[in-house]
Amino acid sequence: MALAFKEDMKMRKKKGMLFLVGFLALALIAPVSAQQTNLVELNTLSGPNNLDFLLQRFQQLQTEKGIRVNVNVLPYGRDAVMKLVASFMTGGTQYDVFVLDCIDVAQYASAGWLYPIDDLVPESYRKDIIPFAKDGMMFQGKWYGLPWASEWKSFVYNTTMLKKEGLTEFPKTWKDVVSYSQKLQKDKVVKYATAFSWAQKECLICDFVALAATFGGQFFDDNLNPLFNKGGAVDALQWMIDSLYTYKIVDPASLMWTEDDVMAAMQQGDISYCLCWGGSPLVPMNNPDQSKVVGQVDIGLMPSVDGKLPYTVAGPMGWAISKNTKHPKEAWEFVQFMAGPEGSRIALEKAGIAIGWKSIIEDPAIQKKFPELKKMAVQAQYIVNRPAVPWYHEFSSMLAEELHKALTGKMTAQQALDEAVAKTLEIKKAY
Amino acid sequence: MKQALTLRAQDRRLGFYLLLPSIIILFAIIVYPIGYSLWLSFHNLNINNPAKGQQFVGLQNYIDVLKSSDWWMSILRILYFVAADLIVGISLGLAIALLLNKERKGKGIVLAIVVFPYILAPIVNSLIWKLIYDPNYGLLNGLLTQLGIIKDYVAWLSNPKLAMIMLIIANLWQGTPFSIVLFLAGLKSIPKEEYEAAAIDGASSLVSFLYITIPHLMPIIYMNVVMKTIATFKVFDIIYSLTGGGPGGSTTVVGMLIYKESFEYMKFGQGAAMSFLLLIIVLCFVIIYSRMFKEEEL
Repeated sequence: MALAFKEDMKMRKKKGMLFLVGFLALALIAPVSAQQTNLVELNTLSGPNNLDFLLQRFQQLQTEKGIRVNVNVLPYGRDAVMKLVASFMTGGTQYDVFVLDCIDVAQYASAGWLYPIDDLVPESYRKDIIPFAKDGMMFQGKWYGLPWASEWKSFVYNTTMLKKEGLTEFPKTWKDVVSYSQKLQKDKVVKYATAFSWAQKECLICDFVALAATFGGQFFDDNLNPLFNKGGAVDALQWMIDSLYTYKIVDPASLMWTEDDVMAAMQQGDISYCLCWGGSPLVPMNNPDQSKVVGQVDIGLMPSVDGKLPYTVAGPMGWAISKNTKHPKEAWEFVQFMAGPEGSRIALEKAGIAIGWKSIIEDPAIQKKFPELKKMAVQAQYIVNRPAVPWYHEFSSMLAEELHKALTGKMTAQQALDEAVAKTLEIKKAY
Repeated sequence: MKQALTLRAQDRRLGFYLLLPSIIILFAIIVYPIGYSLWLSFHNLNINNPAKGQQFVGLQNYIDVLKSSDWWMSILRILYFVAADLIVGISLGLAIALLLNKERKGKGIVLAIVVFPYILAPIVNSLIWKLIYDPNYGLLNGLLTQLGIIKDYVAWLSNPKLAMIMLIIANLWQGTPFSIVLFLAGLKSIPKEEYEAAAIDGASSLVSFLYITIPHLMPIIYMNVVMKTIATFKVFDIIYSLTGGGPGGSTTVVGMLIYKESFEYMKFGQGAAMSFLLLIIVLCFVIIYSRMFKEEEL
């Protein structure tokens, strides 16, 4: 019995040793076989949006160019900021390529975390890129990324509701917006004519930047001295307050709403018009699975104080390269593959991702497939970006709070913006 | 004798080895992060401006925080939040526990329903309340309109005065079951004979409650007060998901401010300093409570 037990133990030991040796051999062989395929590996990170499309493109890149892309998927796109900063702080080799938001460019570039691509960009790209998309990827004259999801907010209308009231033209001025809205509300077509994304978040800054531009307001001078407590910016904030409490044309829930809530209200037919992000905002409006207003919505030009400044806000992003990547050549190949003109065309056609290249917007085949692009192209001439300051996040969060103080009646528009300017100067000084 | 000593030393060594994995894990996940946070609170990492590099700033982060009006406003807000949570939460918890303590049919099911919010993840709780408070499709507006209490729908979270109250209600919904469970356990331990004796002596229900129930429940009340104070001072998730600190900063409590300072502005030094100041404040409260309840002779 004891002998049999000993034999059994010996056998087990032998099997264990064999397993261990096999495992070690595999571990040693595996990297060699990866090297043999000559694959260069790039690491990136992404939110869940358009993930299937991205994975498809990454696979295509591997097949065509021998560049494998490993992607770290995050619950939400902006979650990438903390991971990226942590990566930059520890040498910047963890992520080779990433989607860069225009509001992060100044901070990352001034910190020396981005790989400038000026010397790599061919002349054809320089002529073809839409100016706002390029501006969004530039800081102090240097270029850091190719455009990806170069969106702007479009003013969209429920034409069926407007026609019901005999309103055949879109409003050109904010005064028109008020009178149209009051008519729609008086005749009970809608309870509130419109809604905005005025939650105390980044979405409020986007809307304020757009509205301030339509009132002729400016944010900073060339030396980053704040200018937004005078002129058009104050008028814009005053209009926002009046639209809530005097004209009562904006749903008060707007103070807690982000862009998704506004989009949902428009899709449900609760409001007659709104500002919407998107490569094509009509795509979600005409999706019968999400929308009750299929075929009723159209894109117009942004209203302004006198009809002459129909500006809107843009949120251009781009694929960029980490300064300390070990594979700059392959990283640039990747960026071109994803966000160059051809890559952008595929992204628009397959995933509706906004493009930053004139040649594609003007392409008749694309215009036939996306007829709204023509109207969007008119708006694209009147676009402003949010301020490019290296201390943007602190500034933006502070400004959102001050704007909200005015919007909730704690302060007047002038008081709130004066306080915001004082705090901006403190942030700038501490930087 | 010598052999016994050697054995004891061997036992001690074995005990140490057995504890070692736990010590290492505790050090890695508790001691090291606390130590690092303390180190951070005396430094400025200058993440937004790496050219400046890390700087030792001594107590400057603490001084800056104490000079900041945002900090003191967030403290006032959280004190209001904690006070409401303690007064309403403990009273409500005790009242429900008293009702559930009586033998009734279906008591188990009622208890399960009452305790249900406590087992929900805070983020799920927040999403439920987001739907309830929705200004256009929310349950609360629908209910109050049906009952004729309000004429027009109210944007509950858009009003700076209402927003904090709404957050407190949502937090109470999740926190009160904890009090209920504690009070129920306390009520079960009170000897029935004391109530019977009081009844024979002609004591009313109120007198029995004041002179039998409450004194027996003092340790439970103390535990409730301490646990709720600590939990509520740290409140973050429900505010983050329902109001984000708005409207107009009216719900930016300390937890939210620390998050913003650390993860939005990337000022980890000041965020860490705020955390330690919060720790000191909570400790002060716990010491005050323990003295108060000691005088009551728990």
